[in-house]
This record gives sequence, structure tokens and C-alpha cells, in this order.
Amino acid sequence: MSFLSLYRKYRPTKFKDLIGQDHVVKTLKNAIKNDRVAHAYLFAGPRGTGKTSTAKVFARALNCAQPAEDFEPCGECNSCQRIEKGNSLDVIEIDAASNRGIDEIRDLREKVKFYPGEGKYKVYIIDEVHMLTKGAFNALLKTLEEPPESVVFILATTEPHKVITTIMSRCQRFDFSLLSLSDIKKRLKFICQQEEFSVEAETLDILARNARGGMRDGISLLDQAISFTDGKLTADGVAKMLGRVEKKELKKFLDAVSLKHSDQALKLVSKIIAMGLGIERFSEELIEYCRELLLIKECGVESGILEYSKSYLNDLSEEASQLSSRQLTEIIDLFSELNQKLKYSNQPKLQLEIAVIKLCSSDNNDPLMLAERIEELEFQLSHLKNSLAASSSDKTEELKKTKDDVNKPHHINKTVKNVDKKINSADDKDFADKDEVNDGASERNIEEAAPQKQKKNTDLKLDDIKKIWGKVLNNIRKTDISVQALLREGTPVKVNGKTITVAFPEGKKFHYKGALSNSSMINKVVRNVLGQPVEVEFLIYSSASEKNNLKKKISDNTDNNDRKEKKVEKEKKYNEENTFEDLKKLADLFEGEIISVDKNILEKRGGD
Amino acid sequence: MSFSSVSGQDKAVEILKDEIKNGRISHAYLFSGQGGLGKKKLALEFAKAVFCSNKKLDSCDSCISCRKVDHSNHPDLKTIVKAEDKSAISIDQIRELKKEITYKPYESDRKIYIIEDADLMTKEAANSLLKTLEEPPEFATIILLVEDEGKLLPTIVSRCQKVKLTDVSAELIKDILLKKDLPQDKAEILSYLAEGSPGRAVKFAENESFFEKRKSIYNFIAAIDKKTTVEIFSAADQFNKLINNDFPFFYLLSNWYRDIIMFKQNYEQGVKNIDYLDLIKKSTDKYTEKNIMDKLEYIELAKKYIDSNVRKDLALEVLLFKLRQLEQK
Repeated sequence: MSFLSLYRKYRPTKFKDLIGQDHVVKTLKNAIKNDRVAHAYLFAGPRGTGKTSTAKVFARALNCAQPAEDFEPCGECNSCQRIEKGNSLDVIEIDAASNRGIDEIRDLREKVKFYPGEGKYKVYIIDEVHMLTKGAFNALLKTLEEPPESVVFILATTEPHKVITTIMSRCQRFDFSLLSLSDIKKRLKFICQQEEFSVEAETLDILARNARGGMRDGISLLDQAISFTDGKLTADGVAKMLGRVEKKELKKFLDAVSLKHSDQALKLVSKIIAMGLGIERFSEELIEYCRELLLIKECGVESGILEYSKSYLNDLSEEASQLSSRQLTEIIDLFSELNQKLKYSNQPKLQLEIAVIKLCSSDNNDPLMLAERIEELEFQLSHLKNSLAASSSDKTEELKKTKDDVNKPHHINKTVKNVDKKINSADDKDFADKDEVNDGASERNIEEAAPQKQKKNTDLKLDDIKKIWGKVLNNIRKTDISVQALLREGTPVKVNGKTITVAFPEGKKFHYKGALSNSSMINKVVRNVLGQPVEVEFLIYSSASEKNNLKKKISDNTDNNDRKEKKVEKEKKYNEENTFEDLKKLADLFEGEIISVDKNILEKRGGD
Repeated sequence: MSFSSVSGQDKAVEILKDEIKNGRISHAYLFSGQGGLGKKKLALEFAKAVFCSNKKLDSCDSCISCRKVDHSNHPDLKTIVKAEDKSAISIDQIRELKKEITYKPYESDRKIYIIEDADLMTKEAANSLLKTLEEPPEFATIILLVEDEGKLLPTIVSRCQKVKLTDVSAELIKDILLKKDLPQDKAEILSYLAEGSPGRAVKFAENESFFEKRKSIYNFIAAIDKKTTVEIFSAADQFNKLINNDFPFFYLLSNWYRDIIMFKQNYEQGVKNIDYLDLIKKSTDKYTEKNIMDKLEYIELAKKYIDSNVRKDLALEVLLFKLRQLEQK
């Protein structure tokens, strides 16, 4: 047989070879022992942690003719031999990533019902199961839930979150964890002994650490190291082979960054990249290193959160003390962002260089400076508040009046009238013009009318308010998005001295009330934006009544009169044959009266 | 040809030779390094050496199998590239590979599959390769070529032996160019401009009017603040033609601003356009860092637009106007 990669050659064949997944092995063994083998298992975990290997060993153990005392497969019986060679009838390994369609699953369902050929169980190992299509997953559901008695499914995946929940709930799930450093070292040492290579402890350490918890990574690194160093596994040679950014280099880089020596940082980066390390890899390594520094900074050397030797941990914590947590998180942020950009960029090296320069030139990251700035801002804020309080105290009278008006919801029209009164002072001509405009546009009419008056008595103009209104909404949104949603329905219609009137259409009572209850917050924001002490008041206008009032210039009509007017208005507006029978019935039911009918709303509901 | 034709990758060549010598040819390799370093060539040379009938570490270049590889009609060597009209390597191509790979080699005792730009494999394609990549038939070897291994699935990377190709030093690139009869001064400039990639340098050198065009671009860009609207339109038109002729316009353009920013950082060795050093020096004080970074961002954006089929002339015009606008700020 020709040369076989070490990680294939040393694929575990027995339970005892499976390293670092004791919880899984124990459960599976007990299942065999107590004859409680489930019909479906899901093995999940990162690359190189032994999912497929465990599945294979388990399949063997299930079908072994002469299992050992502790249920290890014997490896010698017919069934074990066949499974090892991969030509067993009873153990079927499916690569779900290439056979991912519904047809393949249908095919599988067809064949599931046949009895096992020689062993006790028929085992389906479905590897990379996350790649099955949605249709295929769903086609599998019934079979997975109630397969024939002697069938066992083992699903293996690196991405369990892509497996639909209905599959998940039908399986016994086992999570494979990344292997510890010592576990990997042990296994690598074992392989070296078997292959008769002498190896230093330090070399093993480097290899195991670079495996990052994946056994396959570790063994394939060993394989590579054997090729690279021609069998002489020295620490130096291996480090050279990895061409990995050594921590030393990263440390130098971070030093340069913290001193803001951008030229040195750039030089280092270009040196590292020239050694053949991908830019994306470099950025990943840097993030990983910063993460380690951050962890050691936050948790301390003794926490045991990082699996390194004591001396190395001390080095790390020394380096960590050079940088603040804020700086570290900033680096991580910036390079994570870079990683995103690299996916699409045509000049990755340039992107990297820009990121480095950004890192070196950002000057806001000094926490001391930041604290100072906050202090200054706070001072300004309190100053602002004081001046505001002083200037608004003389407005309290007016404010009170406004509030009284607003707080009578059953007499909303009264508020409207108040507005009318004020508007009345304007020229008659204005209103005559307005008569010709349709009632839907009355909102606009008020807006048009208002500024003309404003010219006379105040420096704040409605136009100004309208201009900043978008900004006001935006600022409110930052504080409370729901209030912005409420306020969006209203429009500033009038400015009187320091009082801004915001009107809501009649159908938006809910929004009006909401705005009212949040008036203090809205006031604050408006004051902030305008930079002067103003009050915002809210009112509801009904389109019909508004118009009516304007036209007739009635300033002190009774409510009754008002209603009559509106009825007349309504009947005039909407064709006379349209009598709103339904609405009247509705009004009777509630013992009320119809004040006005909004055609728009009726149309929207699609009915009469 | 043989391994010696891949210049500047001594370590990688040595590893591969050792693999052949020790009979430890792995089932999966991952060659990584930026474009133009010779990944493809190295993979082909490796295949040649493996197939070569006179069982030495390097290929003889004369036996029939070596010649077949040279003419790319060796039956045991397959190269998988993305189809021209597609943007990715599809799952069907990988399925085809998986089917074929099970057949025994025809002439030699090994079969070699090369997947170019392996990062272009779709997610499905990459996943469907996993099982085969881990356990191909014992006679098969799959070589993945990629610029940055970070762009591959970690499950793919962990199944391969990694061979890293390093950037080539400027001196070596210069030597390569001199051998191609390029005059000394031009070779010098190109060796810096190529960012460590001999392939890129050679490509630039093969374009006869490279230096002229480069000069026209840089002259324009350096004085873009004084250009009239009409001039900008005609320049956009001219640049558009360059891009259509596969001229690395964006590469040169962003390197211009990159050099300025490098100079600003007092990192003079990092400057690539060494013949324009004076002009760059003069421009340095004109801009803030932020200004240049914004410009670079716009250039990147314009490139992205063009890649996603926005009309080239429009994208270019917008870019030039934006650059001028930033300049006048």
C-alpha cells in the first residue's frame, strides 16, 4: 500500500483511541451494554474533533461478532475487517454534501427497509449533514423518526445550527469539543513513537498549539513537519515551517501601534506578509492574539482561561499591560472590519495598510482624553440647563394656559378654536383664497397661513421650525423610537412667541395622546435643536371643522352650532345620496352623533 | 523547464522534492500565496516531476510524459478552473472530479488534480469536496491553489498539507526582468511596483507602452484639481479604453495615493513609484490622511461597481469628479 497521510493512517479504530471525547464514548458504550441503542444520533463539533471517527468506531462496535469485554470492536472478525475496508453491506457512509438532494434521500428511504446483511445493525453514517437541502431534510424526517428496528442513523456535522430543529429533536445529540493541548500532545507523541521519529517536547508544544484544538490539524502539521525537516523534528525547523506570524512579531507590531509609529508598523506588516502569510490569515492571527491579551487582562494570569505555560502567560500579561482594553477592542474591531472588506477587495494589501494607518493615527482612543472630553460636555450641559431654566420661568403662565386647553379631550374643538382665534387676526383675504381649496388640503392651508402672521410678532418662524423638524424627529428617534413614530403623524402648524403648535389630524388621536404624555421629552429635544427655550403644544384638528370655522370666522360659537355646521358641510361635500346609513346606526348604538366623516378613512376600509 | 523555472520559491520547491524523494506524496496540498508567484507553475512542475519516467526528483523535460504535461494533454493530470462564463467553481465540476478520481491512472502510477482559485468554489462545491479531499483513492493527489487560505473553509484547510509561496524580493524580480531584456531603469521601477509578484512584473513589462500610459495617468491625477470638466470627460474616456485593454489602471491609481500616504507616515521605503518620488513629496503636504483615505475608498468603490457590471465610463467619470471635488476641499 502506498503512502498514507498520518491522519488517515492513525484514524482511531477503537473506542480507546478516541481522545478527549470521554463523555461521548462513555454514553455510547453504555448504550451498547444496556442494549439501549437509539435509532438516530447527531454528532456536532468543530473540525478534527473525531465526529466521523467516532461514528465509524461505533458502527464497528455495533456489528462486531466478538466484541471485547468493554465493548471494544475486535478488529479481526469478518464484519470489522469489511467495515475497515469500507465495503461492508451494513455500514453505509454517505457524503451528504455531494448527495444533498431529495432524490438521494428518497433512494436511501427505499433501501432502509432491507435487513442488515451480516451484522446486527444497519448503520447509516451521514457526514456533513448540514449541506442537505431543505427538501432533503424534510424527506428524511419520517424515516429518521421511525426507522426499521435494526437501523441506526449517525449524522455528523460541523455546523449544527444549519440542521433543522425537527431533525435535531429526533436525534440524540452529542457535542464534540475542541481538544485540549495535552490531549493533542499525547496523541502526537504516540504517533511519533509509532513512526519512529524522535521529537522534542518543545516541538510537540508548537505543533499542538498550532493545531488549535483540531486533532486532524495537529497530525497533518506533524506530517508536514516531517516532510519539511526531513524527519528531524526540531523546534526551530517546525517554527520555520509554520511560517506563522510569531508572537514576537505580533508583539512588536502592537508596540509600534501603541507608540503610534506608523512607519515601523507598516514595515513590520510588509515583512510578515512577504513571508507568505495570507493577509486574511495575518488579520485573524492578530485578532486572536489581541483576544488572548484581552482575556489575560480581564481575567488575570491565574484564571486558567488560556492553556499556556506559566512563563508564556507571564509574557502575555506583561504585553497586555502595555495596552488598554479599549485599545485592544479597537484593534479587534478594526481588523474584523478589515476581514469583511478583504472578501471583496481587489487590493487586499492596500486595505491592510490603510487599517494599520488608521490604527496609528486615531487619537481619540486615549481614555484619559475621552474622560476629559466627557467632563467638558457635562459642564456645558449643566450650563445650558441653567440658562434654559432662567429663560423659561417667565413663560410658565402661558404654559399653564396651554396645558389647560389641551387637557380637555372631550372638547377638542375648543383647542382648535383657540387656534382659530389667533388665526383670525390675519387678513380675510387669506381665508377667502382657502375656500377654493379642497378640504383634504386644509392642513396645508394652515401651514401657509401661519407664517404670514409670524412675521409680525416673533423672530421664530414657522418655516424655520419646519426646516429643523426633520432633525427634531431624528433626535427624538435616538432617544425613543416610539415617540418619534407618534410625533411623525403631527405637523408643526403655528409658532406663537416661544410656543410651537403641532397639529394632528383627527384620525390620529392615539398619536396625539401619546405625544402629549411625552411632551416633556419632546420639549427638551426641540429646545436642544433650536437652542432656545420654547414650548411645544399639541392639538387635534378636524379637517371639516377647521375649514368651517375659518370660513365663517366664528370665534365663540357653541358646540351645538359647530356640529350643525359640520353636518351641513358634510352633506355638501359628499354627495347627498350618500347618507351614511351604517354610520348613523353606529352612532345611535353608541348614543352619539356624527360630527364629521372622513372620506379617506372610509375609502381605505373599502366600504360605506 | 523543471522546478528551477519557478523562481524565488526555493523552500516550497525543496519541500516538494523531499516529498517525492521520501515517497511521502500526500493526498492533498494547499499552495497559497498572492497572484503571480507561480502557484500554477509549481503545481505543474510538481506533477511533471511525479509523472516523469526517469524517476529522479526533478523532471527531465524530454520524456514523453513530461512533454505531455507541457502540452497539457497528460491523461492523469486534470486542472479544474472556473468556467469562463461563470463566477464560481460549481458543485457539478466537483461532482465530476469525484466521479473521475475513482478511476485508476492511465499512464503513471498517480493521478493529480489541480483546482485553481479554490476560493472560487461555491459553498456547496467546497463542502462536497470534503469527503474526497480527506480520503481520495490511494493513487490520487489533489492540489488546491489559493491566494489566501483564510478564504477557504477551515474544514478544507485542515485536510491539506500547506505549502506557502513567499513574496519574491525586488532584486530577484529585477533580475528576472533584466533577463527579459528590459532596460535597467525600467526593471528597477517595475520590481518595486510589482509588490513582490514576478508574474505581475512580467505582465507589466510585456505591455510596451506601459510607462507612457502610466505617465499620462499620473500627470493627470497629480493636477486633477486644475482640470476642467471637459478635460475630465476626455480623460475618463481615455482611461476607459485602458481598462478595456486590461491595463491595470486602478492598481496604478490607488498606488499613487498609497504612496503619498506612505510618505506621510515617513515610510519612504514603502513607496512603490520610486521614479515619481519628487512629485509625491510635493503632494504630501497638500492633503490630510483622511482626504487620501476617502479617495482610496472611492477608487475601491468604482472598481467594485465596474466589477458588478456598472457602465465603466459612468463609474470612471463619477470617480474622477469625486477625486477633483475632494482635491478642491
